[in-house]
Amino acid sequence: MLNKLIAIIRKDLALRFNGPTELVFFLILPLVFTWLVGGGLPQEMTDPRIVVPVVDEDDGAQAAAFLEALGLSETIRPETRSRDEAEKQLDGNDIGAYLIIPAGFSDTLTADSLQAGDAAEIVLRSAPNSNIGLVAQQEAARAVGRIARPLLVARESLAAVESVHPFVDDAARAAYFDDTLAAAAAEPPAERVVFTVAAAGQTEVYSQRAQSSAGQLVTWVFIPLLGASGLFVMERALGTLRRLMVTPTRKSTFLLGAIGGQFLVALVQMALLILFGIYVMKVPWGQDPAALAVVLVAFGLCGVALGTALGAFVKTESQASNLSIMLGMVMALLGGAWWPMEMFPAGMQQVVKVLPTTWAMSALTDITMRGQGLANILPETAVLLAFAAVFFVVGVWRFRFE
Amino acid sequence: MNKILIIMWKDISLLWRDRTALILVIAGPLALTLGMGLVTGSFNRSDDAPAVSEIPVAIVDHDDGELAQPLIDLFTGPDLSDLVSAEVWEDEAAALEEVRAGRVAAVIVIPDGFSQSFVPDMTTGDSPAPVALQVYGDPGSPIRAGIVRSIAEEFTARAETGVTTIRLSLTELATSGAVPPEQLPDVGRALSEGLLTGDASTSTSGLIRVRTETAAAGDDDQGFNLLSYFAPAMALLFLMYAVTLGARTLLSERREGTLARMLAAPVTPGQVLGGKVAGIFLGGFIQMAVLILLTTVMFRLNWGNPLGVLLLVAAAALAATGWGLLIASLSSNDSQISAMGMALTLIFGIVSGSFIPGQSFGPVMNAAARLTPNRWALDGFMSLAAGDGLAGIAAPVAALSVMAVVLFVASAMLMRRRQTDLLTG
Repeated sequence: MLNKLIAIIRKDLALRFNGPTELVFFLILPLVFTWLVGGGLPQEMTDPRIVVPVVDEDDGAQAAAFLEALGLSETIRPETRSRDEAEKQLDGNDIGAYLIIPAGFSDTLTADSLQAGDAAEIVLRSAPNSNIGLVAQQEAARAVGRIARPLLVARESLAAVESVHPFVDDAARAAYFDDTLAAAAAEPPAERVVFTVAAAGQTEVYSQRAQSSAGQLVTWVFIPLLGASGLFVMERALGTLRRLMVTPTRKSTFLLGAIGGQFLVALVQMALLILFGIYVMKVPWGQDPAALAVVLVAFGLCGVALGTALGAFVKTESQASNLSIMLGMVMALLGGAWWPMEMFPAGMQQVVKVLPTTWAMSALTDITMRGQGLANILPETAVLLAFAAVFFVVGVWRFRFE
Repeated sequence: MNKILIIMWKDISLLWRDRTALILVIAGPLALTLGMGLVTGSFNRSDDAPAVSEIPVAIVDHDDGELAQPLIDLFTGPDLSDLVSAEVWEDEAAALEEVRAGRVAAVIVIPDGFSQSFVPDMTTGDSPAPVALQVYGDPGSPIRAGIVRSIAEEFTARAETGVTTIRLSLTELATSGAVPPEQLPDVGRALSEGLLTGDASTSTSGLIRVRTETAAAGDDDQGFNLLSYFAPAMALLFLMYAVTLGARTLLSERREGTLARMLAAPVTPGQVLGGKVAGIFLGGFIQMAVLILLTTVMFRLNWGNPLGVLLLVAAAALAATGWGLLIASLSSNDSQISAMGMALTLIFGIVSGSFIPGQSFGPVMNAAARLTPNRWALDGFMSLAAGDGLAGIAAPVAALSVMAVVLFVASAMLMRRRQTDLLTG
């Protein structure tokens, strides 16, 4: 039986890799996409912060202070631009957001204006289809916090002192404001919030490289596994399945060989993509090899089982090819392979749990980003295996040899 | 000309009779647009609803002091109820397990002595050593964890500012002799009320506001619909695939011998190629037009100026046809065209930002995106959806036309070299 299995697997591999084009989908495109989506270009590797242009229409001291404070951000990299240039880039979808420091910004932050209760403003213009706006908003608020603190202290202290003991004249008031402002600015604020990434062995707040490595693996392994349905259809159409059945080969041996071959190829593909993730993208895939192996096996079984189930229903190779691409892309997209699941609406995050890709991404994110081990990914693995069992039962039950 | 039209019409008829191909080029983009709409909440998000909502947060209070309760109230109160869904946990270890497993976006631990560390000595104004809030974020939810961190920082900054204010004020009142030393504690306590937890006016955001504007949104009364981005993005993605299907017929007809039969009829090779090219173009054009009509009806999308949409669809289909021809001229069999076409479709899709908007890709990738018809056409469709007129699409239409001319010339040169081979095999 083993010889027959090996022969069937060899035959399927020869059919699948009969030209160089299969390599494009098996390895080249997955690697290119992992690299590009993970921000693999040299500039992004040295400074992975997102570029957020700043239009400085004020050109005053407070604007310069704001820019300096913004430059301390760990997630965005401010670059000054003209307004036309920034707007053109936003229109052209080259950037996700930009900030404007309006003219008069510094003037609004003088003693007189502050005491008059005037508020200054920073304008954030963001693209409607971008989450960079959210990130830029957080970082702008943090930079505002840094530069506004001394001003706020000076204003509030002036009011507090004045409420107890009025100043003798305006000059004394102004002098006190200036002195307090200088004293508050000279005093670095105490660290009152310590932010820690809640993951073993992780220091990055978020890793686009890990998201890309896991997401592209799910996408590019899942599509060809669904495409395994095309092999069954082709053999059925050519009548080779019927011929195979006149040989002393049991149906179960054929199915095991056909499914096993695709499964083994998927394991090899996943291993190559993970090695690329480890050595090129520097993704911590190897924190718990046992957990990783368990998830990959469960995911591979689930994919090939769905491919088998599809193979029982589709009628032509073209149908199989189109359906596997469409289903694979949609399931990967909705499973969080392209965008972090946190960007999905709360209700949608529950709905997409009906997809195996969601569980695979959840387990791979647990391993790469959260540093979780075998015990923590067992629930996702169990769900993937349950999906695999259901798809296999449907696929084998409805399988037609003629 | 008549012969070219006949060949073109034959190809269109063949394409539209292929039900599985039709399902892919029409249902595919619709399904992906629907998926994108569901993922981004475009079907149920009101304009003022936050893009991220109901962030799950666990708060562990070991402090039980004056500032701990206002902090808990801030996270659990009505002001942040849309944005944050916070719960108080007793067990710190269990809460941390929740964030490590990704079940909550962040855990805030209020350590013992946190509140007390803000209270200065009311006589000297000196502050105790600071005790920091511990915020643990889920690395799988960077934006949500970042928002929780920002809210916590805003809260502590307000209190920290209050402490500094009280200290400097007491120092001034003491050194100027305005308040006798024995009255300083009472004055300090009076000042501390309101300054530590304060209202919005005593916060940094009350001093400098960050106002957000959404580009292309708000230009009309209904605001921007994210589907206005994803619908053209997906339609253009599958336009590339559709032209590949068309280009494939060039080589599949050669394989099946029907090209040779056509050449035996009184038509020139130029007319055959012209008919095939026109068929590819018209197939892509019709596919885009059908998708625009369907998304207008199904998703109530406003694509903008109809003449502009028509021009842009024509220009995009022309440029995509150019790419299809180039692939055909470089391939030696139809399976090569399929593989190269699918690869190019996906590469163009990702580079142009069809799946992940390309704003975070950096300048090199943005320059590469300009080689794709997807990106130029997407820019044009975004302009039209934002209410721009024909002037807004002048650059995309010009770029797509130039791209088409360059690709047509390159394909013609490659095909001329192997015309006999291409037509007769």
